[in-house]
Amino acid sequence: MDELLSMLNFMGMKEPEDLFSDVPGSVRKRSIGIGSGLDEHQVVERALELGRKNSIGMLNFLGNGIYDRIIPEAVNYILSKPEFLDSYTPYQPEISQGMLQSLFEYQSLISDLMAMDVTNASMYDGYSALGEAARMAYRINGKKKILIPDSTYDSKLSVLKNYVWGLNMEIIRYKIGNDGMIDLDDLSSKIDDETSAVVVENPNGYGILDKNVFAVKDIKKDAALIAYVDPISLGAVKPPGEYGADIAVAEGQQLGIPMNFGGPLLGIMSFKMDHIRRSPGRIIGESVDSNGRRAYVMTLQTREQHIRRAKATSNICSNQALLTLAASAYLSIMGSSGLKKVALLTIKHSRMLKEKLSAAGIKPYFDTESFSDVMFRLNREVMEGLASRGILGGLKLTSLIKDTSLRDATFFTVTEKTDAEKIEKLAKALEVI
Amino acid sequence: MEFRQAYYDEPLIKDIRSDSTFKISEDVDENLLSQDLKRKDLNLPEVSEVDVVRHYTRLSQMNYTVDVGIYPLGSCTMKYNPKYADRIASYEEFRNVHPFQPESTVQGTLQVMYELQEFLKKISDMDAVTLQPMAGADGEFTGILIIKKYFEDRHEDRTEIIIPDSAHGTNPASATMGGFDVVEIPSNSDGMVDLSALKAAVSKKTAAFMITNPNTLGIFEQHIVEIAKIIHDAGALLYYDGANLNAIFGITSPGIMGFDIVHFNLHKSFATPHGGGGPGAGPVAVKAFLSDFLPVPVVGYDGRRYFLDYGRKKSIGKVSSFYGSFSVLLRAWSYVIKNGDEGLKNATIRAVLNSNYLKKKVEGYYEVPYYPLKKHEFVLSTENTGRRALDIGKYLLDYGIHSPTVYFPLIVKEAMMIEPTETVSKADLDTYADVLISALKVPEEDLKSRPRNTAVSRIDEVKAARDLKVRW
Ligand SMILES: Cc1ncc(COP(=O)(O)O)c(C=O)c1O
Repeated sequence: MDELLSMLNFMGMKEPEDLFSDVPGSVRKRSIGIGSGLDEHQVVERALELGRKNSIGMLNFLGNGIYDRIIPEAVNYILSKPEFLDSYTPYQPEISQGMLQSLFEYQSLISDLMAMDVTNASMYDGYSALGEAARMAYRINGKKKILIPDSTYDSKLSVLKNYVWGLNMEIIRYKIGNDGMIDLDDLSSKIDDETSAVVVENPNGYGILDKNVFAVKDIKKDAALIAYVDPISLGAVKPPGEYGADIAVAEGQQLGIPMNFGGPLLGIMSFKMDHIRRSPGRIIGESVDSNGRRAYVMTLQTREQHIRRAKATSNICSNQALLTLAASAYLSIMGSSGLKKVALLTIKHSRMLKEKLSAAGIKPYFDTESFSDVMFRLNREVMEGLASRGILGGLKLTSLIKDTSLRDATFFTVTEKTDAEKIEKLAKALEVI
Repeated sequence: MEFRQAYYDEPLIKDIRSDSTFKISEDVDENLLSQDLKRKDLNLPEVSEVDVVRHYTRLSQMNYTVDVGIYPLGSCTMKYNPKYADRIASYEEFRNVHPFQPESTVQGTLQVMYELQEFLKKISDMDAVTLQPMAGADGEFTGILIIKKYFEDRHEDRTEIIIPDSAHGTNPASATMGGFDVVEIPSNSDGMVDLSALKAAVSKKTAAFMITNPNTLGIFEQHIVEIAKIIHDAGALLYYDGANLNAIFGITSPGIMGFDIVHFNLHKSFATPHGGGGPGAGPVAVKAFLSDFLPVPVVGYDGRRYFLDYGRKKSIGKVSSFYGSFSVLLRAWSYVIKNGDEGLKNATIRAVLNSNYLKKKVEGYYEVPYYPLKKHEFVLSTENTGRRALDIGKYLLDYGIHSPTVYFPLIVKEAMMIEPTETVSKADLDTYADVLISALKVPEEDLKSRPRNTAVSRIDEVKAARDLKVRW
């Protein structure tokens, strides 16, 4: 309090009120009205009290965008370092080399994973990255039609629509065939000279690893190919760079980020080098300092809002830097061998799940290979029933795609964590509800 | 103060070779996947866990943090990030929750979100809140889409958003992303909105006026009531960029001032960590007549249970994947309950005091243009000193203190935008002022050779843009 008074005195003021003499009386607020504050230990107690209202320790078979995967404890530890956690965008690069090198490594690791030329320093989440990709396609070719499969979830589509609304782009759906893969004839018939981008998903919204995705480059004409992929699957599955993608996007939550009820997330965006000047978001480049030392710095900033303002390639400012660090630490700890194993175990478990549930009379929708999300024919509502037995799972496709014709489709999701024993428990529980 | 930042010639993670130590015991057939789905090769690093930890620890030592000192980036609000919030965000009870779980199993999570919505309403005097946007700019974009949908619903063809020349770059960028034309208006000699320019710019085409108050010069827009009237009389909406909300907690509010839409920057005003650039969170609040346009879902409460409410007929739909940056929301919630009415207001008072105190200490040396009383930040110009803001910023780094934001806002030449925040002491401010002043006594060539005590010295940005080495 003494400090406060002496500072006020220094400025020739008597009381704190004097600092607000420029705020007209007619707009003054009386009191906020949320009550008095708590002591620190009370805050922690209150948080725990609410936390305990969540059911925890449940067996998890939910997915469809967010996955319960192994997170090495070292990733959490690295993220908790205040030098990363409690710093900001490296506007002063000389004193921020740690974050800058880490972002440069992230750009490199993800480019390798995607087999793409370049990766930016993050978007907000997978869906907004897709929206930004569609806008980028428009900047590349000036065309306005976007093709996207009918297996894409409503919420993803809604985000995409919002991103391209201001550009008046038209979104057209193409069909997924009875094998769960792209109907190439249908897609081909919808591509014309006005097509700006074809969006493919692998795995798609039905959880299928779709081989037809690889053939799209041959039928897409001049349109940009945007691939929306699962980054874990890339431990084993063909990456976007191997099938001609111009832009590759993904949700990066699976790379070392807790589920956290769906946020914060990591929007991954990679592209061909040719497109870099039309791309959104921050990009870190390597350079040297005045003593010739290797050093990193934000580059190509003339695309960004703080310089280009209304003509910027995007409005993004704060991004998901800390989550890129999670992804980098995760990928480095896993290595190619670890990531491949996680991907293959996921496939092993999805096959196991199909077998077990089939035996219990619940049949998979498709014979085609699934990744994490496995779609079954199941008319019953099982979600609440399972929850009361400590199991999460049984999400209906209708809750993701309201107007789907596949009314009975129900998901159970596997990861490297859901081993035979857990799958057995699920199968048993499903028999009695 | 003597300062020397650590420096390691730290190799890239791919060049550190030690065998991966990661292990999952369960066996899997290497050739499980059919040939036609398989990728060719993958060359991720193979590094042991300890080497990964050491790599990132060494990198961390080459990064400034608010935990080592003042970080007065104007507009960015680099407050101290309280540790109780980190602790709470680490609880498994919150971290380990899937967004599609039955509502009955996530009542605690939903309650936190509901309470935060209520807090934000009270703080801002607005009527309805969405927590979905991922950052401030995403909140702006959400607000812009709400404006677009509102006028579409009214069959009014309004195509322009008016923005002052002092505005943050995200404002015009968000407006054009939504398909609007941006009309920029000049500031007056006090650094406030020029009312006659505003009147001249407003027309039947105006959809909204986007401002922040206090503005980016740290000056309170005293004519805000008149501004609101001009905008509303024209049938347009008034948008509040909440990046500077921490300057008015408990003093006034966007709702009282007549704003229709507000975004919050939880990573600024509510002390959540900036994460080296993010994640943030950018909730949006609106007046009742716009509530139906908010993104879905909003968290509802029926007196018995909390639920995800999708019932908004005119909703713009979704702006991000799920329900928002939950762990950031949780931290902000804990900051609000910790502080309460008094704590929040005191934070504002102290932030404004610190800013004006530091301004007073340096204004004999640097020009501080426009209206003299500032709020939580102020903008000085180094032009009168014959030195460049950039050089002075680099000089500060050599004392282990962070530079202010430089060259923003654009309307001040050689601008240094200084926001000390409430979480620095008088002693910190005195030191900061001393170093800022001493920068004027150092020979020009010496300034140009700064920084020298940081991990690396001044970086060749032209080379970075020319070579475009953006990956290994
Ligand atoms: C005045 C102002 N408006 C908007 C923003 C954008 O916020 P964010 O970085 O959270 O997207 C910022 C932050 O940099 C700002 O200072």
